[in-house]
Amino acid sequence: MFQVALAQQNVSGTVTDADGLPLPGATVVVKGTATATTADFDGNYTIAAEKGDVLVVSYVGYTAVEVTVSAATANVSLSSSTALDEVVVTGYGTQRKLALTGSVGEISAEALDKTRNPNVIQSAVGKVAGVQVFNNSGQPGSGPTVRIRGVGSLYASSAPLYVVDGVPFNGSINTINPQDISSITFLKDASSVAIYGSRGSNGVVIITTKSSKQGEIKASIDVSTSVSTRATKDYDRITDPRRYYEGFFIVSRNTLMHDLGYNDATARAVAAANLVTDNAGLGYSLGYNAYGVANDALIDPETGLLTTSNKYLRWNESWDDYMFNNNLSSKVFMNVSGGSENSKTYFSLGHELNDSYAVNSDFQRTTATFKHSFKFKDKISLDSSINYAHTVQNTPDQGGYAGAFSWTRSIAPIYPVFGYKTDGTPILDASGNHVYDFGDKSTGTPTARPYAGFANPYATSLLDEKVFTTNNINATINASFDITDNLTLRHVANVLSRTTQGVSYDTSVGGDAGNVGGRSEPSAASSFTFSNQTFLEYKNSFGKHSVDALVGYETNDWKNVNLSAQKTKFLLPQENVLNQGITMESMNNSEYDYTVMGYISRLYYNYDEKYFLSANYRNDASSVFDPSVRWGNFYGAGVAWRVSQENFFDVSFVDEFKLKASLGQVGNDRILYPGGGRNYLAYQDQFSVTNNNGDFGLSLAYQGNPALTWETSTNTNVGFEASLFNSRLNIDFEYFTRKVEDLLFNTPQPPSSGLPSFPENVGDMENRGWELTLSGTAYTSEDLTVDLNFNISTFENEITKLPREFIDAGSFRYEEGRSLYEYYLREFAGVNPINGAATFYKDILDADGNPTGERNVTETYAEADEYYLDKSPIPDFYGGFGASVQYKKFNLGINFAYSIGGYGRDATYFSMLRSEPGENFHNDLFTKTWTPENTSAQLPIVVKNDDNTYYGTSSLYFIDNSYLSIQDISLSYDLSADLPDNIFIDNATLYAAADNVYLWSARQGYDPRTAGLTALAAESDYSLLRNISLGLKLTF
Amino acid sequence: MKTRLLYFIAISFLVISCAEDDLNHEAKSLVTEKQLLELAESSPEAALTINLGVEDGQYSYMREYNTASFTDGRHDDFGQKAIDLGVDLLSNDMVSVIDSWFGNYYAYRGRTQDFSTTYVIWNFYYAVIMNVNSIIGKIAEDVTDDNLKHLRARAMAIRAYSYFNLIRFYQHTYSKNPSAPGVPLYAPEQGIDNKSRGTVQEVYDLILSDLDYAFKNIDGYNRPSKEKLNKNIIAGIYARVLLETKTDDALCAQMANVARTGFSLMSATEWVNGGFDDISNSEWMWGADINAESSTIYASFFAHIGTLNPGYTGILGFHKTIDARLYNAIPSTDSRKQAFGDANDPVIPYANYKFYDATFFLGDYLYMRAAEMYLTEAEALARSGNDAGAASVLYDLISTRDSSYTLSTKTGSALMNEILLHRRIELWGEGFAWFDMKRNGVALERDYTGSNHAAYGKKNFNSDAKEMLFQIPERELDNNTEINDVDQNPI
Repeated sequence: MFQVALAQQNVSGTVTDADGLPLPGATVVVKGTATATTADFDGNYTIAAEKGDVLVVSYVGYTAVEVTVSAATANVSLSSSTALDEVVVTGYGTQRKLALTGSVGEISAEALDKTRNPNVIQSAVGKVAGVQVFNNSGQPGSGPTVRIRGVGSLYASSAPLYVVDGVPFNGSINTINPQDISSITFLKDASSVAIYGSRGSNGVVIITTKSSKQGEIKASIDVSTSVSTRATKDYDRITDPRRYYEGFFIVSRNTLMHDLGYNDATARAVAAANLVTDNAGLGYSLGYNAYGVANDALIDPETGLLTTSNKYLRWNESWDDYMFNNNLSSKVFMNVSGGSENSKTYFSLGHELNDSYAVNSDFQRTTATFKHSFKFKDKISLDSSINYAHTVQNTPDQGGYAGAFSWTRSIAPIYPVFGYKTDGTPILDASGNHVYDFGDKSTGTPTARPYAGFANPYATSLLDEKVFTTNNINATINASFDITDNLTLRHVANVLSRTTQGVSYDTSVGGDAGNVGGRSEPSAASSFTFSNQTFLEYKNSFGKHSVDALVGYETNDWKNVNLSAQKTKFLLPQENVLNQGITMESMNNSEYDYTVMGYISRLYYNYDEKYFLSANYRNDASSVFDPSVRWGNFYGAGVAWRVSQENFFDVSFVDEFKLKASLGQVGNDRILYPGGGRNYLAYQDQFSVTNNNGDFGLSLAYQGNPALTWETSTNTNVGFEASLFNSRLNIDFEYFTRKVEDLLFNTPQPPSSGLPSFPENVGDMENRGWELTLSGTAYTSEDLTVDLNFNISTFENEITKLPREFIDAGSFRYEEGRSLYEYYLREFAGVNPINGAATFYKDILDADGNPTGERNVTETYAEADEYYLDKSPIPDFYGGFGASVQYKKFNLGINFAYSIGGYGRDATYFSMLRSEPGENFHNDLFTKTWTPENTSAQLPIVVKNDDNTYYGTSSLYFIDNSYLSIQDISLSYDLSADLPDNIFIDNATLYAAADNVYLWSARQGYDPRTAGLTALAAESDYSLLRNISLGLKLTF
Repeated sequence: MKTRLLYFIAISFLVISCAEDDLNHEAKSLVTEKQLLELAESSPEAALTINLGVEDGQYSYMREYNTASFTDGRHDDFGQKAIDLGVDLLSNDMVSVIDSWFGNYYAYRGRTQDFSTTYVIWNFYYAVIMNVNSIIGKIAEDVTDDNLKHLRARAMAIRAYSYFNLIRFYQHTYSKNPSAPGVPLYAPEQGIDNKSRGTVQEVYDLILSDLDYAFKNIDGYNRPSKEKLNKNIIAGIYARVLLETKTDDALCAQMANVARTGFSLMSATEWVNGGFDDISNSEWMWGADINAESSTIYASFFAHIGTLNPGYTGILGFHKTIDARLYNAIPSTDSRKQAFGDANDPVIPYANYKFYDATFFLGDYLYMRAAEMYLTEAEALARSGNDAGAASVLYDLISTRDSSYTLSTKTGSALMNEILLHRRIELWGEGFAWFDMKRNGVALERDYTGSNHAAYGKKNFNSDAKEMLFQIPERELDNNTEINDVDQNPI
């Protein structure tokens, strides 16, 4: 016990790093005094101090810690910040962080451990400067779109290259268990990616999995359960059947007055009388009467209100209640690792079931990994790893009328899920079950639904079977032989085999295949990749010079075979094996092959750990291009200068300051077909083969271009990294340019030429931008540490050369001097208060037909002209910020992502005002659209089907793309100290986490995170989900 | 040590077996031009097969779903029959009860440049033209081999057929103004590559020269099935074109006669029941034989017009009915009247029962039949002044439809009107009505007392009104420097 009488006491202890290794030479100072000492070679120190004194323990490259003396022993553990020896995975190896000349962003294992999303990349939103992650779908197991540093290409793939454990990865990221990952590195600049040659042009994402560590055997087990809900509220749609009838009355009356010229009284009377059934030859009606009053007396023509009340509803079923459910998911993961210096093993096993919010939609994954490292005869090491992943994805149809999210948004609330007679009695089948209502009278319902006949997505989601099962084996052997102390020969061989079995069955009960006795299309696909890398690496130091040189050769061979067959008319209900079906519909079989090979060389050099140089050169060939143009050369070089190591550098609060610059050139061969999907034979014309009743039919599908060649991008990167205040604050700033030449593009052709597009290298473009990352410890004491991080990025884009005056591309137009994403649309000029029509601008032409510069307005959409509107979806700034707070045994983390500026088109919102009869409306119909009573409204008159195209695509659609979202929150509690002493558990942590927590965006329902740059925000796609989980992690 | 080093480097380079040939892959999904050329070089039969393949590819395309290749295919886009149905819905004679698929045709909305309707039509015919141009380009004009000569003839006839349909949508009838703007012309073997609109005269010059060559070079060809063109069909297309231009009525009548030679008219009972869904019908000249693999189910002709078929009509009630005035004009003794319902029809007033698919959407598509040729011949003879000849041909046809029909004694315009009335009855629903109205100056009049047309389609236009023209689709204006807003048809 510590006694007051002992005035001068020696306090001693050991200073170690986070892994328990001693930090020799650490400084220990009694705060506020001159008393100081340094730790010895074993990290031990002794210093004179009293109880209540504060000791400040520090070590270069580590965050300083303050300890209040309360006993005779004070052991201190320091965690590294800039960590001079911290190692980052880069191209074909690792580099120390301090030696990096390029631009690299990293996500660590701690951050990944908290992710609930089965696809680990989806949780990267906002975490790395310059990296945009767009999650297009909330379907469990689906993959996001990643864009690094803006826009790379027009019509070639903009996806980065994924490298897993050193080998380029062709598989699906959702087969990798996030808990097996120790870090994800994003390589952003050319000097970092040039080493990957052709495939690195859009950046490289390096995933490193956990491997065996030397030392005693350690195991851990992690179990968690989570629940998923909808992440953002849907648009404000009508949910009350009463309001739908009232809304459709307004629309019908509008249609009759505006399109057919009826006067007000007649329009009201006719609209009310023909709301449910069409007795006046109008051509439309709602078909269903959900209330117990006569069809023509539902709405009072004078007031427009329902004449009855919801007490008299004949049926009251909300599709949301059936199609969505807060389902539970669960996850279990365990790993064991350990071994001696010469033989280390890692083993992990994981299983998760992700049951989504939407009905019958889920994702299951089982993974097993085994890794082993041998080192023998001191010169030879053999690392092997084999990973098996089995995934099962239950994925109901999303297209057309089928998806849960799009259907619940668009079906009017007056239509029930199940079948009812006109008087409201349920229609039952022979077994007494309530039948479904497919809207086509097929189950005995009295009327057909005017909207989406032949469909009931609830029934088809349950009764259809759409299951995709994959088995993936990823095996790698990495053998290296130290020929001399400095020269190593290394060979990496990798096999990735993925087989997918698909079951796609449409039920015979109703829907698409209702009339054909069921439709089944099983499919089998297998893809096989074989990679080989051979390297010779030389590492040596001569005095202050240090050299690491590498030459090598790599091949990557990918083959993919698809087979599927379709039959209809099955004997037994719900049985879908082809042998029990009798009508042959189609058979498909195709194969795709793709090979890349290249010669690699790379050099790292440093002098005195102060001046760094890196250079690489690669010669690559791809099977996509014609043999005469298929080889390409790619290079990269970078320099860095640790100014803080210079003698003249004397700023006390700056621990580390490094300037860096890099330059490189990479290429892209990934041209896509106009409809999407890679075009592996873009230099040849391609024909489709059809059966014309026993004769071959050939049709030109895509035109080829033998002159097509690499798209090259020359990138520069300049910046600095600094670490201040004893590594309490880290700053990373970079300015980059990306000049792309010979852009690969499917140039649209006039339809009269018979072909939609022609692939060619079509011009030059430039991206410029900068990124800033700040991270650091805001506050630290024994009990409380607060770490903050912030990143911000921006880029602009300009087309510098185009062979034509302009190229039209949907809502955009490309022109020299303008950005790639510059809207070119009709310009909305306001609502005509007299009749509610939308007005659009059009040019006034002179006698020769040329624009005079003056403009007029027109109510005819087709007549209106299109203009550049000085708006673009490219954000002004985007990024993320977050905090990590550790208080005693609690640890709280919160991450935000944000985007400022840029405009999107909210087509979904406006499509809810262009509805067909039977399709739902947005509640703004009542308050914001023009009616004869509301002539000052901002939005045009709503008529059935928007026949006059007042709500056609125009500047009316623009919506601010800015958003702020809480991406994830996690809270954990360290139970280790509360465990009884003799139990064999070392550590126990209880945690709770949530992702996709909240979004602030310009309009309820609009989620800019799903849009990408050119796409519209998800209309019928699967909305993002919020997962809230609770778990326990134990280590032994 | 040095030797050990070299030894290991050598071994590792052995491992690197520079298999650059690994970079050459064959296409194993679509076939490439290179593979086709290799096949063509392997034997002369193979060369013919490939070109025949392209021809057959067009027959396939004519009955294909989603010819416009939209991401979400439209159920009013299934090839030639969809366009034929549209042509009827633009006319006086057919009513679309519900405003859904095909409502854009019926309500004259789809004609504006921003609608998909005009794009589907434009893209469809130009895609066919591009493909048959590749056949024509590969066979010399003076080729001696019979097979290739016949193939070139058929390809040119298909090209003429496509341009004929295009020009009738995008411009008024020939006689109104031959110098009016036409449509872009592509005939590379003649050096014609005209992206600008050119004139109507230029278009018809190409159509007629194509048909002239085709007719002269098809002799001796025996077609394997009614799905392919032969002399009769080429003559039939030739007759259609001359009926439109009215420049050579004698040749028109002669061609129509050649076309119908060898086909016997169907009986009255067949007309009322079962005559319009089977290509083996004696009267059918040209059509598409639909089977399970080629059936497009709901996005197909019978799903939209067969009143009793379980498609959009039978199940959802989106019926296509006959104009009341036309129905009332059919004589009560005419058995064709039984193929339609009256004002009190239990299914839907003025229902049509003419089109009925006895199978589940395996019903065949009709492109051309002999009755049309009788009517064409009669009209051409009447226009040339040969009233007796016209009445005789008309009698040959109508006597099989109406047992109490007697040889017409009318002359002049009265006879012409009789022929045109029978044409409207006989060819109802087969894709002629609107084109006939345009070429004969008949106005659109749906808004009349007692009309059964739907309110959303009750419009009246003169036959030369701007509404009778379709606008060129926006995508053409955006990507064709020769066609701009100033060249567009009025809105």
